[in-house]
Amino acid sequence: MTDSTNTTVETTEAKLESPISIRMKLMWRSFKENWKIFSQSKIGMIGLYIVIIFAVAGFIVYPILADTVWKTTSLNAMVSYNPVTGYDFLQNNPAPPSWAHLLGTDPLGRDILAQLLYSTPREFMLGIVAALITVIIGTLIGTIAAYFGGALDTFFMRVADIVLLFPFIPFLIVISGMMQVDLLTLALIIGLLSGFGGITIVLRSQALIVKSRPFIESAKVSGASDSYIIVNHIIPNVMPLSFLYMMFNVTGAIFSEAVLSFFGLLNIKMSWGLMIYTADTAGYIIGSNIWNYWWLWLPAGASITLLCGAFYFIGRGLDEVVNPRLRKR
Amino acid sequence: MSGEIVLKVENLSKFFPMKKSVFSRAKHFLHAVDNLNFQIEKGKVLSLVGESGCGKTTTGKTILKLYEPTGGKITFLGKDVTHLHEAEDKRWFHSKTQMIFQDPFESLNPRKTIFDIVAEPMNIQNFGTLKKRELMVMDILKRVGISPPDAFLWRYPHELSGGQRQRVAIARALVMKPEFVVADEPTSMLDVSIRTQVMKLMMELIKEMNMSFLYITHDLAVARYMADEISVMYLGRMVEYADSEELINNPLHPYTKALISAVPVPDPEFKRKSVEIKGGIGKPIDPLPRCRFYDRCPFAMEICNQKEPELVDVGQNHKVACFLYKKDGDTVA
Repeated sequence: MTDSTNTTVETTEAKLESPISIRMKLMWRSFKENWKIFSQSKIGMIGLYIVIIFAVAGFIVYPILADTVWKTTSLNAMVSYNPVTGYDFLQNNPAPPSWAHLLGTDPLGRDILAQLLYSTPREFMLGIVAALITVIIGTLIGTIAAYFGGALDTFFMRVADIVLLFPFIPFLIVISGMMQVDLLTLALIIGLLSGFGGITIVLRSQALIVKSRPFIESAKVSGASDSYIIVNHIIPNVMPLSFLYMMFNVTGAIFSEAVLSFFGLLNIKMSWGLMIYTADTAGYIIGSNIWNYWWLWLPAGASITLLCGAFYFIGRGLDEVVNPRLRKR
Repeated sequence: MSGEIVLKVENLSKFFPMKKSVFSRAKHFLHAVDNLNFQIEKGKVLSLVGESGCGKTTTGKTILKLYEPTGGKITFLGKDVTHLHEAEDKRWFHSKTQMIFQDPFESLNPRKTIFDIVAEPMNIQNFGTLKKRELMVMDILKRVGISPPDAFLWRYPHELSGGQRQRVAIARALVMKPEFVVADEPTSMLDVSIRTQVMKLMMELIKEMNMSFLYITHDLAVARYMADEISVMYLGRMVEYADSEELINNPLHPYTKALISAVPVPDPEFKRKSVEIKGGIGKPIDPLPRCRFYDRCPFAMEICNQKEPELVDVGQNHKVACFLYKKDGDTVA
């Protein structure tokens, strides 16, 4: 009996695949399953397309255009012209859209389309860095608070309450008055602040559900340490929700950046918010003037709205993957 | 009374404080397990029987250190394990003990594959190489009747049926060849048709691996089938303790009598003296120093209201906690 068991074990051992390739296959399979659900949600797909269009424009189209059409010395032999920083002396600025400037120029003679594309990768960077920090902090704090409970839990939940009630934008305005805030610092501040806020409460409540399930006790009986249980059991089970909240946080971060640049409070070269700020300070977004100079604010404003909306839509699509109750049958 | 004693529990108690908030001091205590004494020999099965809420599961979990005991002493393989502080002691204890849970749908992490689940005790204990773990997982899966094991290794729990899941849970518990296993109603969530299979499987494995089992159940028939000894619990107290056949055939405590008379017998002509008990199970919050069964007992006497009955040996390793009985089988009333 035991002999036959041993031989079969050995033969099956020979045809065992390496665990890493099996794990890759499993991940690919679960990705395919989730993609199937995600692709059925229209709103999520719209969001994904918009994000892809922006990503292509910012990461691929801009470098190509910058190297060819917008080469600093091209355009005109008379002066060197940088479309993002330079002044176009060939016309009265702001100039409406033309073949030389597809989306016109701003009051400082800079090409609107070039500014728009130049800012896109930075908006992505800001949104994703801020959201990543938020989600990492939120997941860790949420699961730790849920797992250990007691005074630690109470402390972090009260901190979350305070952060939730915190006037977020006014606080950022004060911070940017106190120190030089560039894009990375802003991402860090937004990430840290919102990481201790609402996301902790949501992930904690999810972790509390996971914590009470018997497989946690099962691991404890085998001698698992607290950190082992949090890393191997609780975090993988709240991960889909963290990922979902990451998408919503990208929206928040891009939006906050736009508001702050609109007030001219950030120490950055160019951003969508800053483009509107430039038009505003030069007095072009006042009263009845506003539609006469639409190219000054509409492209930037639409980009902010579209990209924020797109990440939110992706979040909505992911929501259907994470919460089976939302799925249409 | 021969054989090595694997587990010995003396005066084990577990009280849960009933707090209103984090900062307030507990005024009331829930006496989930109160003054429990028993021992399990190597290769033997002890069954804890009782109604829901009587502290069976708490006893099992307290022994396995999921709860810290409030009082008493637990000796495992001759070593005091009541409070484990040293990391080395903890490792040793947890590698030799395991638990099988009631609900196979909840006791397996849905995000892990069967291999991860079964190999987890070895991962935690850092046991052997990956290759060795893989072989041991395959071996134990085959022994619990999951075959071919390599077809199941990389599946997720939701792809398995209830019976298969419980087999995986058993495999996980037994993969490190533990000395002592707590089985918390492992068959109560299963289909009746699968239940006997799983019970037979456990019996075979217990004999084969010479393990000691603490089998928690509410079903006397299951306890009789599985266990060498049965102990009946009521509201955190042990009320009767005997070899399983002796307990079933000769129940002494009124509560045990009532339990046994409630077991259906597949014979329409069968007439049995039924024992009527009143009311429902009470709450073990700050219990009065009297017999916990006093309110429901049909034979309640004056003395039952005045003090708690001690567990007395009435001969043949049969112990009962009731004032109706005295030492050596004399009946008082």
